[in-house]
Amino acid sequence: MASNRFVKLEEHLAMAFFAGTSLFVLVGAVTRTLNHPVIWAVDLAQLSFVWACVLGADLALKNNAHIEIDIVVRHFPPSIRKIIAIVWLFAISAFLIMLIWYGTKLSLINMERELGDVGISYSWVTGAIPAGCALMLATTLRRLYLGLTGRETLSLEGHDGTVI
Amino acid sequence: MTLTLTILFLFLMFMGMPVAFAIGIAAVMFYIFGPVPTSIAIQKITTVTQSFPLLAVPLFVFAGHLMNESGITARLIKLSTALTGWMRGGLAMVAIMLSALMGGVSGSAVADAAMEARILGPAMLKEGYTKGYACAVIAVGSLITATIPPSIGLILYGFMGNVSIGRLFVGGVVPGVLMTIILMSMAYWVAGKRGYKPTLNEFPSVKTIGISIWECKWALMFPILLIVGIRYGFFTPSEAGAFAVAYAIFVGLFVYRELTIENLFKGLKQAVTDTGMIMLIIMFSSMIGYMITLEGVPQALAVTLIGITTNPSLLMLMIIAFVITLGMFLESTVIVLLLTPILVPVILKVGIDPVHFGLIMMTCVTLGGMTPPVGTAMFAVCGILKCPMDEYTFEAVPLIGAVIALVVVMIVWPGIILFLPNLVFGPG
Repeated sequence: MASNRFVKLEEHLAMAFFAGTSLFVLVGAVTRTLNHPVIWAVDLAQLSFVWACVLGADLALKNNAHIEIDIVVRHFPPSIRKIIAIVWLFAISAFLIMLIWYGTKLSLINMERELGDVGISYSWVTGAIPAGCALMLATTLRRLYLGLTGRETLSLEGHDGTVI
Repeated sequence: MTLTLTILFLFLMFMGMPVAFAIGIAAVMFYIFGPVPTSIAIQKITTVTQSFPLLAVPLFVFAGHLMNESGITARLIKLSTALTGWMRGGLAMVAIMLSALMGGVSGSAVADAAMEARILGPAMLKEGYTKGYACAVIAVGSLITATIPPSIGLILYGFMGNVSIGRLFVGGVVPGVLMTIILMSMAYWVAGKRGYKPTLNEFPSVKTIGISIWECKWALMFPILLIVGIRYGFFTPSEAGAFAVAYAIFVGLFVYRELTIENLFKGLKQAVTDTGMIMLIIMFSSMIGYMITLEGVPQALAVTLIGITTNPSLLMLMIIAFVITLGMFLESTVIVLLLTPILVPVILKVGIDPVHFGLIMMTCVTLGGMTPPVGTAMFAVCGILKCPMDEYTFEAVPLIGAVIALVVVMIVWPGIILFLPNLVFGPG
């Protein structure tokens, strides 16, 4: 599934934003310790962070890396699991559409507001949420389409977090 | 409304919806049907991504991946073997010691457990360890990694509960060391009963140990630099995360010269996916904070709990029993994110120190990753070594029991945890 060029681009962008976050936080800390604080470093760190988050969330969705608990559903027969999976994909799509709608509205309101000292619009931050949700919606709809046309098996499986 | 939505959330989650979306869909109902405008929901989601303290989480996750690739791990294994391999039950000892040493550079139990299962697991099976025991020692031992600073779990707790992350970090040192001692004693006892042999035939020379320590100086120095840096205000915990990333890259590229650009990108890619996974939960659960404040959930809970007992130790035991039970079924990140904002106001009201509570709570929450039927560290280790869950459970119960006994001691005697942070930062 994760083979086409678009996914590669998304992955590279996410990695670049993440690396940017690390770098800007470091620059902010070092310059402050040396008594020449670079104020925009923190703003840029947070700007690149929100984009790394939403792109990373979509990549995790594509790789099935989001936590799911299958302690109950694994006892269900595959046919039932498929039906539940389809219902959930529809519910998730509806939820994401709602977030895109309100997120876009918020971004339009924030056009005038400036992001800290960087001199760009705060919409670059708020816009990340509807943009990320749109990507996740595309991923969800694609899975739904492939599942319903029988080209991919839809099921529910446990995926456990990997971090703490 | 909170109760209805909790039931909805539990239903969605146990019916297999990804946890992030189960939280998001349940929480957004409050904004659709509740007293506040729906547009606030999206503001909450945006605001939480703009919180500077939260950056510590992804940065330490990234640093953990990098430390593993930088050649630090291999040297720590060598040191653990020199330090503990001569004892009876050598490999189990090495595994526990390694978790403790990894604790100083990595903040994730699951990452440590998976790494040890891959590297030490096969050797343990070859020595005649039962699969269940090998998995149990590695999985429960990894709890130490999550307790010794840095700790991703403690960062999350500190962030959600508004507790000093520096204090929490320092507070983790003594419990981490005590856990190491207790688990090693257990391993020693089991090895005696079953005749597990040492891996080294004799006590290594002081010179060998000295060389191993010297080779590991970059890893051993790190937690000290971290605490000194935070204590004297050279960096905030988030900046410490960025420092950790730079440190791992520096050591990997220029000192040990084992970190390749390819591995650097591999670590970055893993960090991006991990971050996306956690942040989606954090972003969606940010909608809950507003709801529980508006509905006065912590106050209501405090009144109920104080109605039962006002004894801090007893109250904490009750909360912890609840957290451990929940931890058997829920993933650690989810528990911290959902319960911290509710529980911290309650314990503050009874006069419990939030650092004391945080260490106890995070130990139990992380322990949830090692307890069946749902446990991330357990799944990781048993998956790699192909161990059935019942064999794991049988062997893990005594080790988990030992940790819980230690937790009870720490509840009753807060000084064990608190004296070090009070010494370093002054009384809080």
